[in-house]
Amino acid sequence: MLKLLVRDFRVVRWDLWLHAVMAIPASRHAQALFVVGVALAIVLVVAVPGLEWMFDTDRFVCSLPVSRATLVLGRYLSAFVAVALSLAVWMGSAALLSRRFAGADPNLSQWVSLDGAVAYCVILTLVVALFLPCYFRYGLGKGAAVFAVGVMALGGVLAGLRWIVRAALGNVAPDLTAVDLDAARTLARFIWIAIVAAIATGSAALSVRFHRRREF
Amino acid sequence: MDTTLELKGVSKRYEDFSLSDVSFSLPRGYIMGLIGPNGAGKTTLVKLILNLVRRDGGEILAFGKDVRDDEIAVRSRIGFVHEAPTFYDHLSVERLASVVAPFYASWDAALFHRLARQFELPLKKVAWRLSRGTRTKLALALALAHRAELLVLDEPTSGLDPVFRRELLDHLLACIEDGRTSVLFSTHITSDLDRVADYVTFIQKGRILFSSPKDTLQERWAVVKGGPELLTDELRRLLRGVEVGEFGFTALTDDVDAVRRRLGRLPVVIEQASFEDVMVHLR
Repeated sequence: MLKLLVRDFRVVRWDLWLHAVMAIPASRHAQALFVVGVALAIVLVVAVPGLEWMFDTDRFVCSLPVSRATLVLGRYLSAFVAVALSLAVWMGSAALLSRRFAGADPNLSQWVSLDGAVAYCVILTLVVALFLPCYFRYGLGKGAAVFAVGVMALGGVLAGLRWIVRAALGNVAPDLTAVDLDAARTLARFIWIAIVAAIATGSAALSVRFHRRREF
Repeated sequence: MDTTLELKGVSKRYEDFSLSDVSFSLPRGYIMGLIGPNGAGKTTLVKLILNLVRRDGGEILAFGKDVRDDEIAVRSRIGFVHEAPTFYDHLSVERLASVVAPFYASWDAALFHRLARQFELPLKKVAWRLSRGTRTKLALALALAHRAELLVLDEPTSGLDPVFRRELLDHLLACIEDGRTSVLFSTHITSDLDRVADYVTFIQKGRILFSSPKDTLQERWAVVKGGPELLTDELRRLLRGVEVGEFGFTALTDDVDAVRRRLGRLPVVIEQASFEDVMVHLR
């Protein structure tokens, strides 16, 4: 699997430089820097499948002495390492720019925190967990379209759920006086991480199943 | 005799095409040509051997192991060259080799460089700038550099100019000199078979019509030419792929003695069939 990881980063090593370069103009607005960081990480995650699609290398890759399951898990590993690397570059550039760059948004330092990192990882892990099964089932072109429709559908479902919860609990004012906010925050982080890890695991299992069924 | 590749009753069904009961074997150290017209099932067969598509039935053994159950072990001993080889085209030849090398325990970097020199591969050039012939040579170098014991080539000579084609076929001949490497290559260019093949397998409409040593085939099949008046129903039963023209008929037979007995001293021409004759008359 490590070989697959090395291969992927040999193929798309240019993207990490983009992070650092794009961080400077984006740092004028903290949220913009966050969005740019997430977007470039997505580019990094999608870059190798994109190149494989563009150059039609599926047959070449699948003729290497690697099992389909390893190929899929290797792609997940690459995606998560890409997320971790992007996070490191993003956090590093945000921390550096908030201190050294006069034009940087003063709120920038708020994003350089555990919560900022969790938010970054949660978003990207969800993207990876939703995108890769679509890619392994349908290939890049159709897979990206299915992914986009899926994201929109999921957004609709979540918005609907939010509306229902608000409608149901609208008049209930939560009494937070008895809640230890630090403990609640920590618990919320763990719950988020557990949910996202479960989704990622399910996603990987689904991708392996899909890829085994594909013929080249 | 050691068998490198063995197919037993292999089948694969698609909506509009199926491979049925495909069986043949390739002995170690020999070259087998897989011929057949376009759409006969050659590429599907190659993909089945590489487990790129799932078979519906039968067994495919390479080096005595099932290509599906021992996928990794088998693939590490196979080199594959596709008709239109695809790579990460934005990488240079040298970098491509460094991407492929870690997947093979038996990768021989010195051998790759030697082959690159021999094939005149430009190591620094990015893959998308290589010509069709050079891409095929690169694919062959990548396939050989891990000391593959079975080379599977899907129409490797298609679209190549005659000089490149001859060069490639000569490389295939050189590959089997060590006595441990076998080659299976699909083609519809019958002259390739005349040049290098030891065994010939003919596939048509998803079925194997014959698979045997080249010399046996050439002895077995003959072309019969004669006037239209000679073409009786009895004679037709001995012939295959009869083509009747204004001046006579041309057909193929695998029973020359019976045809000779039947026609006696009548004015007919019976000559050894070329692979092209076999392919044309059996299509």
